[in-house]
Amino acid sequence: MAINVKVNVLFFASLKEDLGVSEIELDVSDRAGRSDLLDSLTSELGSDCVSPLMAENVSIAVNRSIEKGEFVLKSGDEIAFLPPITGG
Amino acid sequence: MDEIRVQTDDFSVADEYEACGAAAGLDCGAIATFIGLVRHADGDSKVEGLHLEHYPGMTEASIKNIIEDARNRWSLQHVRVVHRIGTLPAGSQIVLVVVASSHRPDAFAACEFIMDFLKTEAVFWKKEIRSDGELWIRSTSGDYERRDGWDDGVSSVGE
Repeated sequence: MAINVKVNVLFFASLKEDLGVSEIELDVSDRAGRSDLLDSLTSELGSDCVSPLMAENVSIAVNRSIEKGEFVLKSGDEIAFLPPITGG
Repeated sequence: MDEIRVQTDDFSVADEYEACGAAAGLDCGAIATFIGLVRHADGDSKVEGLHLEHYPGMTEASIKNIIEDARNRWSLQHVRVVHRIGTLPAGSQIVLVVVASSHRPDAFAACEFIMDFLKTEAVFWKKEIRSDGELWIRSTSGDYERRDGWDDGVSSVGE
């Protein structure tokens, strides 16, 4: 039987507004990857979240480091969905 | 030790200039400063203010990366970056970059470089509050052209 772990997921700026939530605690299977994360988010937030979260210009950070490829999640990880950034 | 701060409060250019002078070495001969302001208009739209968000920890790391890259290119004695977040009315100060060096070419160049990379690589989000609605704004093609004009660029956070 798969072991579930808890991770924290953050949404910023336009994504926070689109989804109506800034932060959720999520149960994912231990060693979950990108598609498992999306499945868990869909279960939690509904299928409407898929389009904004998977937009081409949205970056995913795991523990404050941008992950462009596959990743493996562990208990306590912080995942952030980042719409396009601009400072200054 | 460089200074990186993200804060809601306004900053005093005089205080930051003084702190830069105190932190720089005895052979400091040039301090360049840049202050970014909230425009009152963007094209034909009247801007009432700007709302800024950041990602604590990651934002500061992204600024640190930019400063490190500037330090690899020029001889710098001290760098200060103060960036505001929250809701700022038009005309407010948003960002301050202060760079100290022995000579002006390095101070000018590094100050401009740091600002160009803050525009495209620093982890902030900005929403314009206009008289006709609200709009999350993005780096412009001009911002990317200016960044790419610095030869090879800096790596993004975590890469």
